[in-house]
Parts: sequence; structure tokens; C-alpha cells
Amino acid sequence: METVDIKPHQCLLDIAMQTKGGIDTLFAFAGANELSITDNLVPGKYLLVPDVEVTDRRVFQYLRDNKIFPANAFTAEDDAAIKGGIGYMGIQIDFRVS
Amino acid sequence: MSRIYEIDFPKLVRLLMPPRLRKMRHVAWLLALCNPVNYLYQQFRRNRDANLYRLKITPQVVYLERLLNDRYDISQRRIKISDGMIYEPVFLYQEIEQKPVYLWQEAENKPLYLYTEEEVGSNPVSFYVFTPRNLYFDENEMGALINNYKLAGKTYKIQRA
Repeated sequence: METVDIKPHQCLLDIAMQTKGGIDTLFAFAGANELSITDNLVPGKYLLVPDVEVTDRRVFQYLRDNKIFPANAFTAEDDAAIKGGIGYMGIQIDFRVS
Repeated sequence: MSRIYEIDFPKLVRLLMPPRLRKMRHVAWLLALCNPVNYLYQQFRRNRDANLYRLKITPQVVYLERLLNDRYDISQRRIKISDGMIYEPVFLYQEIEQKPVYLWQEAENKPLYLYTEEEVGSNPVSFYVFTPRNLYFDENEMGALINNYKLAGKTYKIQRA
């Protein structure tokens, strides 16, 4: 199976965008790599690319021709800006009670 | 196991936003809109976990013990299951039959065990569920739970040890 390297600050949505042109293939990626779709990815590692059609050929071609690697992952600065945490979380909203 | 059902909705909302729009107030608004979805998702997850637990329980002794201990004695786990044993019955005769059965004193150390019908009868039970004496539970409810998981045709008896 084809693989793709993870660049810094990339999340699974970016990888799907970069290799298939759209995030419709997000769950195929998550399934192929046994990841959750919101998992943090480790830069420098690689992911398996599932055998599915490129969903948006124009976007895919544009990103590839211009060597654009989308990298929109959540960063520590984002975290700080959004101010989640104790006092902001709610039981059953941010975490599960089972 | 596949982790495809594990979705962190608050995080997904942020990831789907362009980074320059990820402002506190904007994200909070979107999270508020997503709250019903998240709520349903949590219900789904709980239901899924419960179903996976149900499927994991089989009539094997270890799993039945686990089920009962999880349900009734979660911390001390004292409920045990053991096979039904077949004992030699002890018959007590009438005086006229001249076959005396002697009951000895404790010091003489010759115990005589008297068994119940289930233990020696023509239909001995397949297994016993031994529960500690000081555990409070609804026997009918426990019976229904065991009936749910035991093999067809197996008989059992709940006994306080």
C-alpha cells in the first residue's frame, strides 16, 4: 500500500486533503491506519494511503503542482487561545461518564 | 480494534475551522451548535460499549463469574461458580428395617453429610452459583441474568455459601 509522510502540524484531515483532494476519504484513512479521525499525528512517521478514488481532482492537482502541504492541526497556541480546561468543561459534554 | 468510532467532537470542530478563524468566541458558538450531536454521540458510545460487553460474555465459567461479580459484587468479587457434584445419597430408614445410621458427636470426627434433593436427586443441577452470605441481591433478577447467558438445558442453583 502507498504511504505518505506526515509533516509537522498536519492532522488526518490535511493528509486526506493532500493525497485525495478532499476530506470525504477521512474515514477510509482512519480505518486503514487504525486511528481516530481526531488523533494527533506524529510528524516524521508515515500513514498508509487507502485504495480509494481521488475525490476532487482539481484540488489534488493544484496542491501537488504547487507543492502545497496543508498543515492545519491544532497547536498549543490554539489550545491556549480557546481556553478549554477545568472550569470550562462539562460532564457528559467534554468527557464521558460510564 | 478499530478506533473509527472514537471522535473528539470539540476537537473536530476546531480542526475543521481554518486556523485564522479559530477564535475563542467563534469556536464556542460552533461547539454550542454541535452539542446535540455530541450528546447523541455519547449515548451511542455508551450503547456500543454496553453491547460489546454483552457480546464478550459467554457461558464459560470465567465469563459468567465476571458478569455476576461485575453486577453484584464489583469490589470484592466473591461470587463463584462450581460444577454440580454428584454425591452418594444417605438414606435414613425406619426402625423396622433394622439398618441403623449413626450420627456421631463432633469429637468423634466421623461426619455424616446430608445433601439436598438437587445434589443427589435424579436431576442434579449442572452448576452452583455460590454467593457470600452477607451479599444482598434480588435472587429472581440474578436468575434472569444467568438464564440470559447460560447454555440451554443447563440447570443451576444459587446458594449462599
